Amino acid sequence: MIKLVDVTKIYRQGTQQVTALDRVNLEIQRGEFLAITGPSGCGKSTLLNLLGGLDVPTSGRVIIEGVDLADMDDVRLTQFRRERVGIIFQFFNLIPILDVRENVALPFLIRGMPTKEANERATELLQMVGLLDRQSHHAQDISGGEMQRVAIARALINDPDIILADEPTGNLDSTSGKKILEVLSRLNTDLKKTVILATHSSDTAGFAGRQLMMRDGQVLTEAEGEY
Amino acid sequence: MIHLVRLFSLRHFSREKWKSGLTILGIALGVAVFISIRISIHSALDAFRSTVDHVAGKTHLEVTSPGKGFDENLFLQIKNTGGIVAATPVVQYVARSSPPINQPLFVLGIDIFTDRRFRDYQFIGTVEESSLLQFLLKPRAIAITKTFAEKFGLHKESRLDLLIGSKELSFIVKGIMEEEGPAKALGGNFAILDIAHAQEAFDKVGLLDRIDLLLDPRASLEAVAAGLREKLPPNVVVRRPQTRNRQVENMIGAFRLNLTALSFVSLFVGMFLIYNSMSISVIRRRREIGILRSLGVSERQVLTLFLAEGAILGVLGAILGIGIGLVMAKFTLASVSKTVTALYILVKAERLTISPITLLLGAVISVGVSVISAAGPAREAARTKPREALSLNYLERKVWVHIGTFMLAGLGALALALIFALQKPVLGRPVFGFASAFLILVGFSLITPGGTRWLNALFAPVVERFFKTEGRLASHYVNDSLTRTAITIAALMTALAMLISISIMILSFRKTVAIWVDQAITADIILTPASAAISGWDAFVPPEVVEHARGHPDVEEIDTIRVSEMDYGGRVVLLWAAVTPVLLHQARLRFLRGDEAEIIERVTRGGEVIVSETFSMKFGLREGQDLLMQTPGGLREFRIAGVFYDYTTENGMIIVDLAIYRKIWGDVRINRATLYLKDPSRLEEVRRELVGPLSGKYQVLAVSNRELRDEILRIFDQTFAIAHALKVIAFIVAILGIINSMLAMVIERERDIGILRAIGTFKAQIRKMTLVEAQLMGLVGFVLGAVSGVLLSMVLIYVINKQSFGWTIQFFPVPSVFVQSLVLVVVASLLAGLFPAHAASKKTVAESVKME
Repeated sequence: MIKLVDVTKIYRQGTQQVTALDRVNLEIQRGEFLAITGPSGCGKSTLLNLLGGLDVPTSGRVIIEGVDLADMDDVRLTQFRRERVGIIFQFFNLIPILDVRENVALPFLIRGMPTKEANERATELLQMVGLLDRQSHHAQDISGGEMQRVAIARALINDPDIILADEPTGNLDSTSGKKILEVLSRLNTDLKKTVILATHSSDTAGFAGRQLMMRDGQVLTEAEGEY
Repeated sequence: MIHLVRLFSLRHFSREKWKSGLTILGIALGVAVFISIRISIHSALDAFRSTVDHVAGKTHLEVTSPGKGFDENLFLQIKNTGGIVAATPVVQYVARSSPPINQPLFVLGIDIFTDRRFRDYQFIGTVEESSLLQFLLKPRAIAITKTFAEKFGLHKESRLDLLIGSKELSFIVKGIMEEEGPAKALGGNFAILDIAHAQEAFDKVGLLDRIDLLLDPRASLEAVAAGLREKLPPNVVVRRPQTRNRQVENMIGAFRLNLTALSFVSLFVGMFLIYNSMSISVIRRRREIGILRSLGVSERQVLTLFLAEGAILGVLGAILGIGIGLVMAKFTLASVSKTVTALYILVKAERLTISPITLLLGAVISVGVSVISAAGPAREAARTKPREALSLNYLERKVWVHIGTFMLAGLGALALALIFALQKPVLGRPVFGFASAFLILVGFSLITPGGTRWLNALFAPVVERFFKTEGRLASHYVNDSLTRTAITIAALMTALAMLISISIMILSFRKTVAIWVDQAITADIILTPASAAISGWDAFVPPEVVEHARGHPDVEEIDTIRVSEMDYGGRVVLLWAAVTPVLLHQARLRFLRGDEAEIIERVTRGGEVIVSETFSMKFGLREGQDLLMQTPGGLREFRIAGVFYDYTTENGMIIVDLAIYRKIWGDVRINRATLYLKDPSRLEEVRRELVGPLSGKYQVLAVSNRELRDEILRIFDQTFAIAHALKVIAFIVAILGIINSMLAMVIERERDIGILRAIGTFKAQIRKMTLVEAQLMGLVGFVLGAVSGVLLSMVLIYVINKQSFGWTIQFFPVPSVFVQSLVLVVVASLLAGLFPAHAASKKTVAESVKME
């Protein structure tokens, strides 16, 4: 289970302070498919960053399976990201100098796993997302939808419990976007992954089992939401 | 345009202080080296000119016999020549003050009655006495400068002991001169004696070194000189005092040219630094450039903007470089002065001569180099279309596509370098040699992208084996960021090529000299006057000492040597008279051609001469040809019997048999006696027995073969100290390039690093990847630098050195040079990568993965 207790995140931009999250309280059950919606700048991405250990709250606690992420130093947070979290970004964030298979295998390799095993696992995942024939291509040689599928495969290679997807279809056409969402749904229903999706699109949010709306850094109640 | 520069360029510099700072420092070091070398050489020459000018005073013409004295009766013959209103005789000597002072002292022996019209002496003391210089007539009276007196705690009536040749003479200070006029000579290390006392002290009784002449203002200098030449014996010349300055400038011409060429290396390496920095800047600011273009800024304006940035870097580099250069000059001046003194002529340069032209030249070169280096990136920036992202990938693809072209161009440059290396010198200067060296560097720079790819692929399996995924990523990045890495590697390659080639050249030269010393200097003991190191060939070994040595039971053979400087073809060469049968027996002269025994026989019996390799090269003379020498009896032809390898002097040497020399020149003095012992193991005892009994009367050094060898090599090492310093600076500039490049990489790869961190890469792994990348660049640079360094060293040895100085240097590519360079590169790359590695691991993950 994932729990946020009174989480606040404040950024400093020059002399100004921006409150990205304001006393957020939230619980997410294991195996849930949760969509967090809201307009641009409402704090969705910040929330996902905190859940993934990519950032730390200014105050409050982020507790995952009973462990407060604030108690972790950088090494343990990194370990946490390696083993428990798979992240899918809006802009794909593939490493341009590596080909498709190497991008997928990368999280496995940086753990020190043997190359052969990493390549085999990467091949399996590329098969799963339907991109086996593109494995030796580089990012600039494939479409946006394909890049996002590669990113999904990469996110899965360490068999994480939690998948975080930040606007995964934001840079895709509707057909490609739909395919991505179907993949994410299958990850949740077939592989029992906890999927947390941030999106500004209500259509996209509709793929999730539960939806939450955010505005101005706060999570609105279901009664306050506009779905 | 100014607004654009202010809003766009200056703000960019202040945003990227570290990168800008490193780039400016790189250029500044290059400018600093250039300026410090130029100032040092000017200051050394100026110090010499100053001495000549101050000693010459108001003299219009001087009558002299270079390297020898002439009969003092000549003074009476010429002083009444038409057009001459005043004449004064002069003897001079560079003595050595006895320990503890131990300084050179330029002593002028003057005629107190006639000298005052030529030189002004300002004395501290009684006006009446000083105006007539009468005090100098007192026994052992000497006048020194205030500078010398204060430095060494001397005053009137102090005793001053001087080593003059083999004698130690005591003088009493009777006058102290203000530092005006001739008292400024040799930095204040100047003294005057009465001429009669000087002739006696310097063993020049009956001889003069110069007659200084003042001419009637209405008389024509050329006419008076022509008139004098008719009266003068053949070996006595008449000339302006400033002729000596020109002679010395010619003498050190090759040395000066080579040192100046070396000083450009750091600037050349700095060019890569600027090019790299500007290229990265253009890539990173492509969005801003696109916005500017879409707002109506023209291509020309964008081009001008980036050229202006290059110019700003150049100006800032010049300002910093001039400051550093002036500080550096204090150190390089000491080194250059020592080298000029050791190799050419005594110079005491303690003050910097800072010419505004040198500073301006430094600034112009700095700005020029920066603008030229910025031209390429500026052109790329100008071509940015408003809607097109000048992505790194776009530039990388351009480089990849053109790798083949670069390789071909590089090979073409190397082919041209070979052709140039085979050309003859131009006006005695290795112009094509320098061009060849430059083309080697250019050629290898062009080959670098292809070479990097190939070497990276070669190293990749090993790197991955040792450094796992981090190594693989580092290898990928080196390969795929060729736009940046190739330029950084090219800069490192250039610096390493200079480092390796100069090291090989110096070590080869040293080994060649060491072999020559072992072959040519076989005497067990060499007797020299105590002041020889300072006084040069004006110091003599007394006949009594020679006879004492000849009579020693342990001495098997003795060679006595007389050396004098001689004007030949506008240069000062050495005329070396030796007992050639002993030379044949003992010394193993190596001749370029012919049989040694037969050659020496022709010298001993036939009155022929042998000349050194440098003499042969400089004057285009070889065996079987005749050379003309000026003797007291007039011009005389001497057949050249052979040409031998020699490293004594750059200008060349003529060896003649001593008996024949004495017969023709009438000079029976000896500068050196070389002794060959029956039992070399008794060397120390024989030394004591030779020197001890005569030590009360004469100051003679008995130097062992080993000591002489060590001294020769010590002087050798000293002369190349500055070359070592210059190559280190070039290397530092290259390392700055690596740091700059790696820092740019950290900025450029912020997103990639963020992704790696997001997917679970530890900070330590990021640091490791960065360091491995720095090491890879270093290793590739080393391989390319080693190969180009070897080629460059061959040009230095076989072309530039040969054509500049005339020496044959054997090629010894000593392995230790490569090992040391490799260690240096590994350590330096590691250090260069540390700060960027730390910066790379410091980025917050969330910010790094976010797109703008």
